[in-house]
Amino acid sequence: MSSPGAGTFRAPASTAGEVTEGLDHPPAGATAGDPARSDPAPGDAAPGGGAAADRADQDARKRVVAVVGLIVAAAIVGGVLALLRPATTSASSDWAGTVLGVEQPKPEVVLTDTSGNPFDLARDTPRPLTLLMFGYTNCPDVCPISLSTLASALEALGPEVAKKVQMVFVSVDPERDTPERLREYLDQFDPRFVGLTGTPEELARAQELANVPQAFLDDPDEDGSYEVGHASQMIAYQEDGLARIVYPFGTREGDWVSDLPRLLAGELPS
Amino acid sequence: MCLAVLVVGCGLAGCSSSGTPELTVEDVVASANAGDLSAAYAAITNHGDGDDALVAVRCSCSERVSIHHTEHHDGLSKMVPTDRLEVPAGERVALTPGGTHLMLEGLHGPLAAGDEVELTFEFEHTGELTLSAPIVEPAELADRVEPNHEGA
Repeated sequence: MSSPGAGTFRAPASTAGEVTEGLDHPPAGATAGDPARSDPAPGDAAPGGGAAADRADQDARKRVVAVVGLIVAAAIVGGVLALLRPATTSASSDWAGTVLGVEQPKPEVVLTDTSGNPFDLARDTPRPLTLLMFGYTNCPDVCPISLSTLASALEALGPEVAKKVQMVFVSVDPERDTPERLREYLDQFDPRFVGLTGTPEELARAQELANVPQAFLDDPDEDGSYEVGHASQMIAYQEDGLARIVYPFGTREGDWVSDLPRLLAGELPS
Repeated sequence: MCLAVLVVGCGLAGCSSSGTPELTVEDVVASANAGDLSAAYAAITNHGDGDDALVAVRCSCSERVSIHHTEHHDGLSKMVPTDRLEVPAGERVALTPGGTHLMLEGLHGPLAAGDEVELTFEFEHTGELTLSAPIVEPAELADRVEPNHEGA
C-alpha cells in the first residue's frame, strides 16, 4: 500500500476519535495560568463578614505577589539565558549570522587540496570572501544541507557575486575522504567549492586556528563504519582575512542572499 | 494533503496495555544524495491512547535505513544510531535535519530531485506503512532545521 507523502494507521478498536477531538481544543488547564483570571473583582468578596473580605483581599494580594514574582523570575531566567548565550551573539544584530565579538584571522595552515597539491588556507584564498566549514563526506544531514543551501544562494545571487566567494570545505575524516572522493562530493553542490584534507595533526591545527571545537572520530563498528562529531558552522572571512561572523547549521538561502552582498561590500558585522 | 488511511490490527504481539496507538505519518521527504548516502525525514503523530515505537525503516532505494539522532554538544554535531524511536500516545515526533533522521545507506543508485522513493515504516504495535517520498535538493531542507537546536 502506497500513497504520496502521508499515511494514517487506525487500529480497529481505537478510541482515537475522542483523543483527536481533545487535541483540537486546548486543555482546560491551558488558561489556568492567565493572570487576568486571578484578578479579583471587588464584588467577589465573600458575603457575610469583614474577615472573609479580608481573607479575599489577602488572597488577591498574594496572587498579585505571585504574579509579580513570576514576572521577576521570568526576567531573571531571561537574564541568565542571555548570559548563557555566547558572548559573540548580538541580540540587536540585523545580520542573519552570529556576529563574533572578536575578529578571528584566517588560519595560517597548509593542507592538501583535491588535486593532491598543498593549499595554504590563508594565502590561496584571495577572493573577497572565504567561507570555511569542517565536515566529512559520509555526513548525510548537516553537511549536504549546509553546502547545498549555500550553492543555491550563490546561484540566486548570480555569477558576479558567486565568483567573489570561496567556499572551503575541510574534511576531518582523512581516512575515508581521499582527495578524489572529496572532489566528487563537492562537485554535486558546486565545482568551485574547494575541498581540503590533511594529516590529523594539520587538521587539528586548522580547527584550533579557526577557533572551532576539535572534531572526533568514533571507533568503527563491525561494518567498519563510524560516526564523526564536527563543528557545523560556516566561518566567513572578509577581504582583510578576518572573520567577524559565523553562520550556524540551519542558515537559510534567504539569509545568505541578504548577508553575502553586505559582507562583499565591506560592511563589518558588529 | 492526501492522507492514506490504513486499518491494521495489533497482531499477535498485542497492543500496549494502556490503549491503541493511531499513527499518522506525513511530510515524508528524501534528500537527493550526496555521495553514497542520503537522508529522509517525516513527521509521525500518535493520535491514539496507546504508545508505539518506530523500530525499522526500509527504502526501495537503499540496502539499509538507520534511525539516527544528531546530537549537538559543545559546538560539535554528531550522529548517534538508535534502535527505536518512541512515539508516545498523543505526541508528534518529527524527523528533522539536525535532529532525529533516517539515514539511507548503500544506495542502489543516485537519488535525483523530482523522483520518488518508497519508504516502509515499521512500528512495534501498529505494523507497517509504505509511503512514497518525493526527493528534494538538500537546500530545500534547510527550512526544516529546527531553529536554535544547537543552543549557540
